Amino acid sequence: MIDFPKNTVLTFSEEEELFRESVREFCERYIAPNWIEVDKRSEQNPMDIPVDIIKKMGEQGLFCIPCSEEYGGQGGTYTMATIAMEEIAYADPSVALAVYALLNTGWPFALELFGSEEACQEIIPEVAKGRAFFGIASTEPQGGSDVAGLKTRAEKKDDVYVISGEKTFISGVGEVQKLEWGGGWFTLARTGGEGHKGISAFALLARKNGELADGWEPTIYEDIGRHGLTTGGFKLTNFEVESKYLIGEENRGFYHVMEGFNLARIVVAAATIGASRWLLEQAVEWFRTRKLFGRNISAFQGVSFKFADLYARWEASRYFVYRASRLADKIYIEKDPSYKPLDLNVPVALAKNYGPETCVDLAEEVMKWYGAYAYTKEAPIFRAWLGPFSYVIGAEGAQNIMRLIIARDIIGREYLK
Amino acid sequence: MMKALVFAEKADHFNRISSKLKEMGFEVHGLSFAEANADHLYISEPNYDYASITAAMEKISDDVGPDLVVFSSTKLGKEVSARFAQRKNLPCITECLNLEVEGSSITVSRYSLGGKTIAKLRTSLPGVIAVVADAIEPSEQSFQMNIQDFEIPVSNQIRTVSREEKKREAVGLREADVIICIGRGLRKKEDIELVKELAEKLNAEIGCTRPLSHDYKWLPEERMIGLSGEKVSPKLLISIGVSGQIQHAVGIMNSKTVIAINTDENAPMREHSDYYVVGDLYEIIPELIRNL
Amino acid sequence: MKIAVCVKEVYNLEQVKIIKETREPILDVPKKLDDLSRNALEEAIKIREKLGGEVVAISAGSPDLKKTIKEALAMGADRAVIVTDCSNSTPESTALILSKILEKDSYDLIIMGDASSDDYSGQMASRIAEILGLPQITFVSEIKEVSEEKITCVRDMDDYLEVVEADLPCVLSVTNEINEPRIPALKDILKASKKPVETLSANDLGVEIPQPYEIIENLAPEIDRRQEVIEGDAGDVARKLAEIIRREA
Repeated sequence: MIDFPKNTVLTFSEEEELFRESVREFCERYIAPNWIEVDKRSEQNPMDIPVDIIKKMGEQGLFCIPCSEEYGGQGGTYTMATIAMEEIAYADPSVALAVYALLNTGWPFALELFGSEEACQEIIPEVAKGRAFFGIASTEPQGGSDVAGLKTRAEKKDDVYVISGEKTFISGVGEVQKLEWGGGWFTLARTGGEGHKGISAFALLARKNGELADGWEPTIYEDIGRHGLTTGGFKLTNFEVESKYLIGEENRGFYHVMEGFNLARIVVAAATIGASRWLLEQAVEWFRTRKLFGRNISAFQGVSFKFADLYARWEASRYFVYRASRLADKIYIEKDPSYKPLDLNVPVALAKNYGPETCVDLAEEVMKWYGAYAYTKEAPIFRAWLGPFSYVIGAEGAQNIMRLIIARDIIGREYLK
Repeated sequence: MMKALVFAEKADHFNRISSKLKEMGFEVHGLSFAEANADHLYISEPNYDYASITAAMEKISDDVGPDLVVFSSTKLGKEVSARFAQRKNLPCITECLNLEVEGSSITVSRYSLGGKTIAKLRTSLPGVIAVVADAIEPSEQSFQMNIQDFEIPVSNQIRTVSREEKKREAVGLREADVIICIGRGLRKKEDIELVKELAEKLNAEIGCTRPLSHDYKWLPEERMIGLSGEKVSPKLLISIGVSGQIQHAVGIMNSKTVIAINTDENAPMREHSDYYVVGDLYEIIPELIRNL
Repeated sequence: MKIAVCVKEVYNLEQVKIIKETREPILDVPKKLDDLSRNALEEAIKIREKLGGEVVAISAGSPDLKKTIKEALAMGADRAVIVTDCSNSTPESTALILSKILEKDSYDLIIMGDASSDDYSGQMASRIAEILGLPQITFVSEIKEVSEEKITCVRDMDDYLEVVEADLPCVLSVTNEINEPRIPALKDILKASKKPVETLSANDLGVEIPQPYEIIENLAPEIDRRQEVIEGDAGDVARKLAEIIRREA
């Protein structure tokens, strides 16, 4: 119903269109009929993880999209990943499965960019197959946005780093326990002094080859939405990480993770534009069927004008998202020297700021248009409100941090002190 | 007088076709497996091998020199009609819904664009067509009825290892006065019980759209109504939870009155309905049962 | 095994709209690979996975084929041969054109859908088999066994199921129920662009396109339904329907 109008600016190649069609077909068959069931079941029991759907997605090649085929990745572009996430979220607007997919594209790719050959050979193929989870573990009890202030410590002893600390609000704590192989996270810990220059990044595997590692103590949270993907925390007590799992250089972890966040945020925004499209269609269907006072509800301009505004924001968020993905391709796939990683900061902040907020605002309005029915659990719309809301609350980057990034860049860092 | 040559493996199909051809003024020749209405009929032992039937038709056609060769548009009929037509270098039009003669041409209608349109085609004779026999109303005609035995030449192009009749449920969709047709608006197989209750009240037969019979297998194939299934003509058809895709709609077009119940105000089914209810079948059917 | 799959581009039928006043169809819609062609390709690829060899996609149609054929390559065909200057051709001429291409190579199997979802004519397998002098097995719903020498299939006919066998080479047409066509993954789509596509014209093949019949009209049937909407709560609706049913049944 809501499709992409003829466009001379936001264009896609034949291959990208074929890929979009194939993802759409896969989602129509395997995801759209099941997303509500998944959300309901995982709401009852967070550890009830849709392992078979994840496996199917792995078989279809929907994970590790830009990773090299050498590591079992799909050898595609970041834009291809963006297209995939947009379509998956359209089929699952609670965004749980889309977020599973985007985390397991963004963070394995960050591993490939900065990690060791052995770590890539070991971890990426399992993630691609849907047998392992690899996300991001940065947030701690005392804060998430202040990455440089983290407290988890990593001491080097011979060839091993011993890590102790606590991580909170981490996606995938359940998945790592339930998937066949296991997995872990692109994890940050302090190896040096205070501040951002003392942080290193590690591929921390809580479970590999089915075996749980020592010193890892998980807890699972009860989220209010996005149930199909678990959120939890874990305590690390003298957790041993071999040096081959150090990602990039010691004490350079902050810079590596910032690049990783830029990449992950693009596909997060991509998921929210997919969910937005679903929401727009719910609205249009309602407008065409619901009458009050003898007229279609959309006959009231208070309603149709608001719809037009939100539609405009949806189209705008698509431009932000694909602008960022094409730039990411220039930097990381084509390796075009005229584009630098820092060039992504503002484009990504715009996408990550605009996409989720548009989606949540839209969800709220759609629910108001539906009225009482949307307040019941029978109507699935609230799931498309609470799921994306996670990304307005701050997952993968707080909204105001995005604003800070934009303001700093345009106005000048010194003028914001 | 123009000559027509007919083949149909079912006598009923043969007779519908031959009566139409006779009505149009043809001298009717034919090949069949049982006694059927024709001026000159060749009867042979049943043989379902395309190569054998094509060879037989070729032989008879060479003897008779027909202007028009007509097959029944069954699976067997279609495959033979095309092979025969190619052998004789003739055009062939399959799935014809009707036919008319104009001088030395015939005009036929058939579905096109997946059933969205009906194409009217004219071809000059001699030619080959395959006709949807059930779409032809038989008429009383008199035939010469010269009958001969015929031996169909055996072919070994393909070898039949086994054949099994399909167990077909005796389904009275064609004869039913009232039909209830269900679609994907039904959420689960068990919900069919609710529909059965209504069907009993109305003495109605139950039909369905293709997904229910062929994909979900909730009902046997014989109950499928659509382009590749049954085409029905009841007095009343009640369509429940059916979106109204064209491949299905062509199956119900000849219903006298159509009532539809659907949650979508703008489903394609609306165009094919006389009375359209926008509502929840799970609420309405119980109420309807109470009111009958 | 050398397997040819004859595929067809069709209009995306769900998107075809009808002009209310004239009942003409609006054909300004994108084209796609027909579903039955995908069933045929899927079966061919399964055979290649078992016995090795090559799968060649062959098609005759409009210039849009250049794009549509990529779907076939993405599904796994090794290469394609397309003729792009015969839009609106009939089964008679398409069979001639495809046969000219098919006779250039010695194929063990030639597979296609049992009909196409737009016209549902179902003549291609018979015509091609006749032109090439090959046996045909149509309406195949299952391939039980296949080797370099022969093939055994189940045929889904109107009133019976039949198990038949034939020596190779032969022509097959498959039903929609024979398999679930694979959805191409990204890797396959990326590879598809690199696979060879030979583009020919009907002239090159020395085929004259006969015009065996004239299309007098092609219109949507007249819709003469009342389309009366019945409103109210379940109880009201049920009462009104009961009245209509008593009257019309």
